[in-house]
Amino acid sequence: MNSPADSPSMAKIQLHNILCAGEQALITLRLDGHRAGFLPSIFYAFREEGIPLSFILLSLDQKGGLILNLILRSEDLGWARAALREGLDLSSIGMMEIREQAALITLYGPHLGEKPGVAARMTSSLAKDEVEVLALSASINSCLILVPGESSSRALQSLRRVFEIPPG
Amino acid sequence: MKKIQIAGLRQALHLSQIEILSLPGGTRALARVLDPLAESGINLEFVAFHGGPKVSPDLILGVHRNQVVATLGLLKGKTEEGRALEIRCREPAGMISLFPHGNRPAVVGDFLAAFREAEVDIWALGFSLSALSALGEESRIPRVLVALKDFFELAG
Repeated sequence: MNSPADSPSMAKIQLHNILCAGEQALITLRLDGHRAGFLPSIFYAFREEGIPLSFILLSLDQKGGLILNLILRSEDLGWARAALREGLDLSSIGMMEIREQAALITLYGPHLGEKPGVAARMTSSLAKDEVEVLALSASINSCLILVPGESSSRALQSLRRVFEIPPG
Repeated sequence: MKKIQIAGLRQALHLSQIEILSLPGGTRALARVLDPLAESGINLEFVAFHGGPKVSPDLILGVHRNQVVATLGLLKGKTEEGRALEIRCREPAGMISLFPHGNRPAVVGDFLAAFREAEVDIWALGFSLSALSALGEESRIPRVLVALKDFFELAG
C-alpha cells in the first residue's frame, strides 16, 4: 500500500512557512514522577539565565515516571546540563541523556489542526527519504520536528515535496 | 505576582490520550502508525513523539473520543520488529492550549505551576511554535483554568 507521501497526484498542503534552526541539542530527562513539583523552578532558572527553549515535550512512562525532552541551542547546553544536574539531584532520582548536533524544523500553519493527515504526510515523506525523527510535536497551528543536523537539508527537501509555501 | 500576558487560551474536551509505548523502527514505524489514521480521517488534536538517544520513543496522540474506537481498531494487531504495539489509552482527557507572546521558559514555568496549584497531573505536554498544550484528566480541566488565571491574563 502506498503511503500518502508516495501519491504523485496528492495536492500539496499549504503552509505559512517552513523554518530550520541548526545547532540544537536535545536533553532527555527521566525522573521519578514525584519530582513533577520541581519542574516550574527548572523553567524559572532558564528564564533567569535568559536561556530560550526551542521545544519542550513531556509525558509519563509506563511506571508513572516523567520523560522530559528539552531542545535548546547547543551554545546553552553546558549551562543547562550543569543546572539540571544540580537542581534535580540526578544522581539519586533520575537520568539525563544528551543528543547534540540536531536541527529543529518548524512547519507553521495556518489551521493545521483542521487538516487531518499533516503529521502522516510529514512522517511518510521523511521516512521515504530516510530521515530520522528524533522528536516531534504537532498541535493546532504548527509542527516541530527535531532531526539529526546532518539530515536537515534532506529533511527540508523532503518536506517541500509535500508542503507548499505561497510565494511572497 | 505579576501576571504574564498571553494571546489566548483554548480548551478541548471529550478527548482520549492514546499512547504507543516504546515504538521501535524509527521514522518508518511512525509513518506506518500515522498513515492509516490519516487515510481514515482521524483528526489528531495532539501529537508528540519522543524518547531519548538510548530508548525507543513513545508516540502520544490526542484523539476525539468519538474517533477512539476507530483509532484503536486501526492500531490493533499492528506489529513492529516482530512484536505487537504496546498501546495504552487514558480517558476521559481534556487539553488546554495556551498561546503566549514569548518568554517560553517563564510561560512554561507558570503553566506547570498552575497545574501544580490545581493539583492536576499533566499526562502529556508539548510546546510548539505558538502554543503550549497539555493533556490531563478531563474533569480536572476547569480547576486548571481557574489556577491559570492566577498566572496569566489576556492581552488587551
